[in-house]
Amino acid sequence: MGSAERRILWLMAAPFIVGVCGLVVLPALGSLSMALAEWDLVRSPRYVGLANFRELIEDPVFRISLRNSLWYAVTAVPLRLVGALGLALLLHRRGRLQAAGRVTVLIPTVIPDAAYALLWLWILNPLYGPLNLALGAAGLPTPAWFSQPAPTRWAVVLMGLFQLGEGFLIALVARRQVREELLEIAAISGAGAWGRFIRVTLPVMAPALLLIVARDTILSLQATFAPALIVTEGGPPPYSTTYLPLFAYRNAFEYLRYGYASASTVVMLALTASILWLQYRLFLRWTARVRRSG
Amino acid sequence: MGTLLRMGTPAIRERWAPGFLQIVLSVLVLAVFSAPLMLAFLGSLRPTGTSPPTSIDLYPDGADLSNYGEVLGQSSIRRQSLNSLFVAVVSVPIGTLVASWAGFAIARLPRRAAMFLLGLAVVAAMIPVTALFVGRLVLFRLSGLTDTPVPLMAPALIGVSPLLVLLFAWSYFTIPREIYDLAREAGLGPFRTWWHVAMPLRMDVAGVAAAVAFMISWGNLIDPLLYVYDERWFTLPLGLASLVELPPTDQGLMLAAAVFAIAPVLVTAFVAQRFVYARRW
Amino acid sequence: MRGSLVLVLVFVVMAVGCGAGSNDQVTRITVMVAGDPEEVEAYRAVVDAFDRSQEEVDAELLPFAERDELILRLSTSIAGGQPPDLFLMNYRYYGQFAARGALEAVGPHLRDSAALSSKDFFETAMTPFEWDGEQMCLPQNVSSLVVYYNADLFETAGVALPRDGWTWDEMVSAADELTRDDDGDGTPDVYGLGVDPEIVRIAPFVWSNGGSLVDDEASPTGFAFDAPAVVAMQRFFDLRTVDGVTPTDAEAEAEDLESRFLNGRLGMLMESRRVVPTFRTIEAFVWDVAGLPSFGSPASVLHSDAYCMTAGSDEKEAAWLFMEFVLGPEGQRITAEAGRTVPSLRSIAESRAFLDPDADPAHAQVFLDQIPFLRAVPVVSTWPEIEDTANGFLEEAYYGGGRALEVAVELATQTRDQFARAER
Repeated sequence: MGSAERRILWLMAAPFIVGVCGLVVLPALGSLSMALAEWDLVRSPRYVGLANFRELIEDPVFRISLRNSLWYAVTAVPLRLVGALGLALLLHRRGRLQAAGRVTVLIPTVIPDAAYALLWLWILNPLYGPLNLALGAAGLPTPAWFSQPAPTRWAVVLMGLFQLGEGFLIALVARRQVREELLEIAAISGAGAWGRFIRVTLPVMAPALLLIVARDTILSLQATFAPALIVTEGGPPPYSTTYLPLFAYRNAFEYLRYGYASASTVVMLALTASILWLQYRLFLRWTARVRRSG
Repeated sequence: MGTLLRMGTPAIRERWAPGFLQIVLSVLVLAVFSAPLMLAFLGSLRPTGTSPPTSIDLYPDGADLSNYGEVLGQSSIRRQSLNSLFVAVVSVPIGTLVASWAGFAIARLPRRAAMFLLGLAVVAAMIPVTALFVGRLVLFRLSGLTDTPVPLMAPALIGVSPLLVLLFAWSYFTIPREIYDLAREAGLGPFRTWWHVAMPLRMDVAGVAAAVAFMISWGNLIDPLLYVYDERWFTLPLGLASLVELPPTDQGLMLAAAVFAIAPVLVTAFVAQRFVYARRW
Repeated sequence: MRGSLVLVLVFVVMAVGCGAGSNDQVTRITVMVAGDPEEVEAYRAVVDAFDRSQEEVDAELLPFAERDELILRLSTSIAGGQPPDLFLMNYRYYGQFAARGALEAVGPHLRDSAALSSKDFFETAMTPFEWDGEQMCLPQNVSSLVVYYNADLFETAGVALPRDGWTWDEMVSAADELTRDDDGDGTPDVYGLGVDPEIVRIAPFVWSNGGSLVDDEASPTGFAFDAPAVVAMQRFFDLRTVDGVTPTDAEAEAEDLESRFLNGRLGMLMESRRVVPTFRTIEAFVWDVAGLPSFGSPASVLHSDAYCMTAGSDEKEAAWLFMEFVLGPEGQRITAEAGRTVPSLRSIAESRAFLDPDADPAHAQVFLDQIPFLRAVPVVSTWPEIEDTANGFLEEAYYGGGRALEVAVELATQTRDQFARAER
């Protein structure tokens, strides 16, 4: 590749690089340094070293937020992955039913977060919402959405389960990369549907699935924001649906403690990085095993 | 050239008919995933002031579209919608372009440079937005851009979502090397290769990316919440968020506003879907 | 390239937009307020009157639906370098801005003013807005917690209307009579009482029983509930768990108390003056107000909002002009007639604008009668955090059958750090 070619390619990438520097790198570095200070953005910042982190460790609300976020990730991510994969396998072919299915799966994901929150606020209204009315009519128990901790947590998971469009699209695109000839060959050599899935489909889709899991894990650490802010307001108390992003948001924008909030976001960053590193290691180990078994 | 093109795409001929189980499951999926919106639409037909339902009342008495009239009649909602549209109209083309270029660069640069760019995109996609909003506030404040629509459009510079960069990179990467070699032999530089070869081959991906970019931009809640203070620049998600406090008798209005905000996104998703599957086959 | 064309278009539009905004003749100021649509109408009326009364200043109202939203917008706009010139805020939440030097003190402006003087105002409302010995904001009202009641429901149930100086027990007994299950499904369709389990609602009853909230009113280091305080808190919790006269958590979640009262499903509601403009739209029944029931000594809690000027404002003179009008006799008369305020200006409070017998509530005098017994909750800069924490525990205990003694201890320990971080 000539240097002229390379230069043009770099030029093409330039806007993105500028964007990443300005919108990601600089703010992230800024957050890192703000985490070491006490700042309300009105007076000048005051350097306090690691005091914010010490306070975080002691803060019961932070610990609860952390636990809630982890619980959500561990609960929602596997469910969403299975859902996205299953739906992609079901709906990837042509056909009017398939096409309608694809569009319908995408609908809840593409809805504006605020509108989506309003929908569920009404659907899960404990007295007047259609879900509880239906459950009641069928003689089933009607959970106390939004007024009891456990149902409210599951409500947030439920809201997230419908929004697997991103993963679904990725899985769809990946499924399309699986060449039909390979599947036909596998069928001819006697592999059943499950065998074809394991030996042909899954290996080709594996990188995409990893991408979905990685992306979902990150998303789960931030996707709870709109539901927690608009629908549950972090409650029911004490703090059963206060997740890390809401914790950061409250401390920054309601209590004007930007340094303390930045410290909590640093924790979020570290958590994200370690989870992704773990998944990457697992993937390496899995691909090595696949290669060995030929 | 034709043979080469066909090598990259899955087999075209397909004599496949859905089995019974597939049909049942597909219909189930249709029902479940369209339920929230359907229910909301039905709920929005309940005029304000009527008492809230105490039994399943799918088609309420006196159901009408009056709530939609009220929603459209509110000047604040209209202005917020126009602001959201304005931001989207600017962000989507720019964002798709930026993502497409960056993705192409990743696909075509020599390995080390490509890895660096890829790493940059992955990192950018990795960092939660909520970890950055304070840092961005300071940045916008220092550049005097708070209270303008610029912070709302700024994500276009990272392709609206770095994930779109990865999507483009992957799609351009799956174009066989022979095609790129042929393009180079034909005397096309990288830019023209992108414009004449890569983009047309992967138009469906570009369509999906643009659709996703629109949906992200249209539904963006955090950025206007934090960076815009003047009512004149409020976008639709902010208007929706303030409807949360409506009492049960007026929830029809809240739902009508939500459905109104959702409609453009539905149209976009539908168009994108058809676009993707029309071209491939 | 299409991309760059769009970019050029954007810049052109923005340049045009920015240029078109400026107008040299008239000074523009922005005022942030929060409230229900009817409340906001009241503010709009006074802002319009101000604009009409003079030529130099044009005031623009920035209304928000919720207090939380207002605080968020205020914080972010101050942090973003684009604060409004004025905002209306409760004394419980302004401390965080005062402590950070985000406010321009009104004291000097007041002292130099020919139109207003501090002695024209009720001192009870002025004092909480003093910070470091200087008057920071000027109050628009001296409201307090009262009991709104549905007179028609009382009549149907054959219960005597609340009387002056009535006791807690009398109130509970009335609420009990009013709570009824019309359709026989086991859950009440009308509840006798509605009150939010918040620290600011419990405080007056703690005081009424002779108890204390904090250790030192002037510079509190934490919650310090003594025996009378715990008793009062327990009686408050009993409203739900023992007396059963208030809605359950699921019911309260499904429909808020204000909406319940508006629709005639609540016999009594404890609220401040804030709801009057909305309640004036009620046509289905007759409603009125009564003083808070007492445990022994009469007490109520101050609810006061004030107009504050931001230090970052570029138009402080114009902002003061606005304040002089809005808080002077003319402006206060308008907001009083709209029903929103218990005017902080003595002359208007005692005038027909507030005490009009033909305007609901008929017994508006109740608000004035309570003024001598009003106490303010402590004014500390971290009060929003303290309130959020405290209300969380109170809500959990109220609906979940918690014991007041345990809650009192929990509140004290959980908020100690927040009190410690408060600045004066």
